[in-house]
Order: sequence, then structure tokens, then C-alpha cells
Amino acid sequence: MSLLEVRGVRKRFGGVVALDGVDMRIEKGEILGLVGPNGSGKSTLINILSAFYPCDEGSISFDGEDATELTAHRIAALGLARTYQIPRPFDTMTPRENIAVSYMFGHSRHSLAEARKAAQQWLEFTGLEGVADIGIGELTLHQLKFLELARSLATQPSLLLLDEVLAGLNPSEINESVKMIRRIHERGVTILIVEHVVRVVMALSGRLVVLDQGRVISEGEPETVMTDPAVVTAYLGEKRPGA
Amino acid sequence: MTARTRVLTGFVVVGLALFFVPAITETLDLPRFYVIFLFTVFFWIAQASSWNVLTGFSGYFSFGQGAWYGIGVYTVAVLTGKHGWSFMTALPVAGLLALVGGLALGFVVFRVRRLTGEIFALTTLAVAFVLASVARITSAIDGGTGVFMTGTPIPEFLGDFNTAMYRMTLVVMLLTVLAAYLTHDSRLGWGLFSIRDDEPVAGGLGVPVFRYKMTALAMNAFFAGLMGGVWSLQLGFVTIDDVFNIRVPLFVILMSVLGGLTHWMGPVVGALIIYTFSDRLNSAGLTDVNQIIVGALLVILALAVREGIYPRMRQRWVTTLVTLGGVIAVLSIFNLTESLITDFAFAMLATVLVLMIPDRLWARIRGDDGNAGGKPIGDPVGPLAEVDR
Repeated sequence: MSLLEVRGVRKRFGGVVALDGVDMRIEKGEILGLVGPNGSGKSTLINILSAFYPCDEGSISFDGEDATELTAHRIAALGLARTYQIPRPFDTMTPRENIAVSYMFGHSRHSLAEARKAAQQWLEFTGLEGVADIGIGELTLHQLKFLELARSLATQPSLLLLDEVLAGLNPSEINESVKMIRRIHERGVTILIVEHVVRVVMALSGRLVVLDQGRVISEGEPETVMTDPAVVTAYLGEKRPGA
Repeated sequence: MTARTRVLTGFVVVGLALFFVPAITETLDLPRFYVIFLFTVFFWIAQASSWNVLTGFSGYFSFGQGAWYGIGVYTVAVLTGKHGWSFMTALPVAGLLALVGGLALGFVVFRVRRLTGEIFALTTLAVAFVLASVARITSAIDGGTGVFMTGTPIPEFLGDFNTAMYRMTLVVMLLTVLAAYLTHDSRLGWGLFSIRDDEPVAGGLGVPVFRYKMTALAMNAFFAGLMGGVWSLQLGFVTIDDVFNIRVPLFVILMSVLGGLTHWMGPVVGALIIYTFSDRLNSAGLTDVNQIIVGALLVILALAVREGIYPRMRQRWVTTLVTLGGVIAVLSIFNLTESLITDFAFAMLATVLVLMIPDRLWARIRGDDGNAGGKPIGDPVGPLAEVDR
């Protein structure tokens, strides 16, 4: 049984069809890469999976349970966590408090006292101990991205949705992040990674799903998928006849 | 001793000390006025603290305080004045009816995603107007004639009228502040803070946003209604225009903003400062300019200390205690004013002025990093934190 199963999901915003019947599975223990050109519906799919907004049609099951109608906090309790493309920390709290809040809620309930202690573990895991107790406004983009990771990990998820965690980072920070994602995976967390940096997705994921204009146009082994003519066309456009 | 034991011990000590104030004033033959002044302060502390549980903690700005207060006042007035209920049976009903009103409003507005921000604020304001109109046209409630409370007997064990008012407002005030403190220091509180900072993200991390907002609104309404019920006795004659006016919602906002919205003590300090000033201005015969002065003070404070005065007090607690104590000591030793409350008002004014000195200037005066002698405050807000995303 797949950890997550998406069947025929459709979503439109006004006249724009963002997702046009998406079918997708995420197997337990894998790193699945989700790629596609700008506007292909990757972020919309993540937003629907995490119940940021409801889908118009279709169904989603998570860990064998129907999750289509669940509210965001119930999905989080089932063990799904996500990060945001543009970091969205709670900005009246310190990094430590941000992490503590996730631990208090998330997958299982914990008291404030337990959460204050547990936060340390995630601070260390992401290397944020040094900035644990300063204001959010003083963090760099790199630190904010890691805080996103730490906060979503503190919910103790079984499935983690990473929405462009590498965007805006420099090459050495990217390498560090890739190592971090591998370490998260080694802890037994299933990962769906949405990413623009194709090199990174190819290196990390065991399987790729390619979205274009709200549909899945290809899926399978990364090497095979990236040479699929449909994918090449989606990224580079149609070959001009005779060219 | 953990922080929680320390605070709870503080509650018991302050509660006990305050409990004996009426007896002490009687023994020392001090004017009754002190007791009345104090129980009015208690009233405002409870109103501001209950408002802050919703607005300060969850970020949902409410103009609806008058509605919950009004439900409380009218419940007791109608049940005792028109149906012969005893005051003590009517009082819990006042709190519960307000709570039900809060839940009913929450059930509607928290279900609709778009009813946030200013729309939420306007909706809560509308609720008070609707309630006022309903009361005005329903003769079973008011019918436009007002309700007399003068015949309502107060339980004898509470003492004479002023002592009884004092004891009841003290208990309700302590319960309200205690509830605010326990909320602030719990999962519920942190869940609400995360809703205030970014509600969709909070939901995604597992915070039950709907249930928590309902709880905050219910607590706000319950304590406001309960204190409203007690206050109906002080009003004596209850009318729509006195109860459902803008005074209560406006004052709780002023008090909480001035004291600081992020901490449970903020509204307590704010209520104490604003009520004392406005009371002293009134008794100095400056009733007409009272609102102007209090309003101007708020504008200046809002500009000088955006996070509220209480976080500054914690940061510079030595300065606060020295200024307060010093001014009171000097004024009372030389017997410069006719009343202790005036001493206190001047002491608070001096403290507020000292606390208004900006951080950078303060550091230069002290010749240090501006934080020596003070604990780091719990809610650091960097300059960038205020930039909209």
C-alpha cells in the first residue's frame, strides 16, 4: 500500500485550471522528485496535499485513510508536514520557540515543558543552536530555510513535502542542504521534493514525477524520465518543423 | 522553585493582601473612596485581560467587548430586577450566556475564511449594535425604559455594599487574570500565538485553529460577562445607552495596547495606569479634558513604546521599582498631595516617562548595552519582524 495516493485531483482558480486530473502515489520510504516548468501546478499540488486549500474533485488517501476532506491540523496529526518556498516562521517567536510549537502540536500532543526540551534536538540536527534564541529578523535566508526544515521535522512526520527548499541558496549551501535531506531520509521519513535545480532532484530522488499544465506527463526512473520526449518538449518547447 | 510556582504564589499573596484592604481602610479610618477606586480598577483589569486573551493572544481584533459585558449586565439586571432571582444565582447565568453568545458568533465567523482582519473587527462591533437594538425593542429585556437594580439584595456574608462589590470584583478579576496567565503558559496559549503570527502555517503544523479560536473567544466572553454581571449592581439603574456604548470596548483596547498585548500582565498594567490617570483627572475637575489627555498619552506611548509598557518594565525593572517607590515616598513623606491615589498617579506618570526613553538613548545614559540589570524579554521582535511578508 502506498503511503500517499492521489486520484484524479482537479483544482481551478477562477478560469485557470491549475490541476487537471492528477494521479500520483508516494511509496513508503522513497524520495520522490516532483518537477515541471513554472506554473505546472507543483505548488498547488503541495497546497492541496497539506490541506492549505481543498481540491475541487478527486481523492487523496494518506496511510490508508481518506484524507480528502480533512482539515490541515488533522493531516498534520496523521504525520504529514511541509515546508514553504518562502520561509514563513512565526516572527514574534525565537527559532527555539518556533520549533517547540511544532513539537507541541504536529503528529502527537506534548506539553510546553516537554517541547522546550525537545526543541534542542532539532536545533542541533539543523545546526541552528547558535541562533536559537535571537529574533527571527536576524536570521539569514539559509538559516530561515533550515528553520523551516527543523520546524517541520519537529512535528515528527512520516511524510515530508519540501517545496523548493533550495531556491535562493548558493552552491555550498545547496550541498549542505542536500546532505541534510539525505540525513532526514535516513531517519525513515518519506520525502516529496519539489525543486527547480534539476541536478539536485536527479541526485536525490529515486523516482520522478513530471507535471505540465496540471497533468502528469511522465514518471519513473530519473534518467529515463528526463530523456522522455514529452518532458523535453515541456521544458524546451516544440521542435520547429524542419529545424 | 519553577516559574509557575513563583507566579501562582504571587497570585495567592497579592490576592490575600488585596482581600484585607477594606478591613484595613476601615481600621485606619481612611476614606471609602479608596475601596471604590480599587474595585473600579479590578473591573477594568478583568475587562482588559479577558479581551486580551482573544485579541492579544490570537490576533483577532475585537470591538465586541461591549457585547459580552452588556449580556452580563442585562442578564443579572433582568433576572433579579424583573424575575426576582437572587443575585448569586443570576451571576453565573450572566457569564454562561455571554459564553454562549461568544460561541455562537465564533461558530459563524470562524467558519468563514474571509472573515479575518478588519472584517472580523467590524463584525464584532455589529454584534454589540444588534444586541443593543434587540434589548431596546424587547420589553422583556429593557424595552427602552431601563431596568432598576436598586431592589436587588446582596448576600449578607459579603458585607456592606462597597465591601461586597470589592470582594466580588476582586475574585472575578483574580480568576480572569489567572485564566489569562494559565493560557499564556500552555499549549493553548502557544497555539494562539502561532495563529496570531501565521494562521495557515499554524494549522499545517497541527494547531487546531478553529477550536482554539473558539476557546479564546469563549473565555473572553465568559469573563467579560461575569464581570458585567457584578457591575450591574454598581450601575444600579441599567440603560441601553450606558451599557452598550463605545466606552468599554474602547477602554479595553487602550489599556491593553498601552500595557502590551503579548504578555498576560500587559492589560493589568495598562488598566491600572489608564484608570488611575482618568480618575485623578476627573477628581481634579478636569472631566472635560480627561479624554483628550488620556488619548494624547496613548498616542505618545504608542509611538515611543510600540510593544507596550509592560515589556519595558520587565527589561528595566530596577528603574521601574526605584522610580515608583521613590516618587511615592517623597510625595507621602512631605505630604504634598491630599490622597495616596494622587501620589500613585504621579509615581506612575514618572515611571512611564522614564520608560519612554528610547533604548539607544537609555544605553548611552547608562553607558552599557541597554540591557544590564534587566532580564532579556521573552518576546524578542527584531526590526525586520514588523515588515509585512
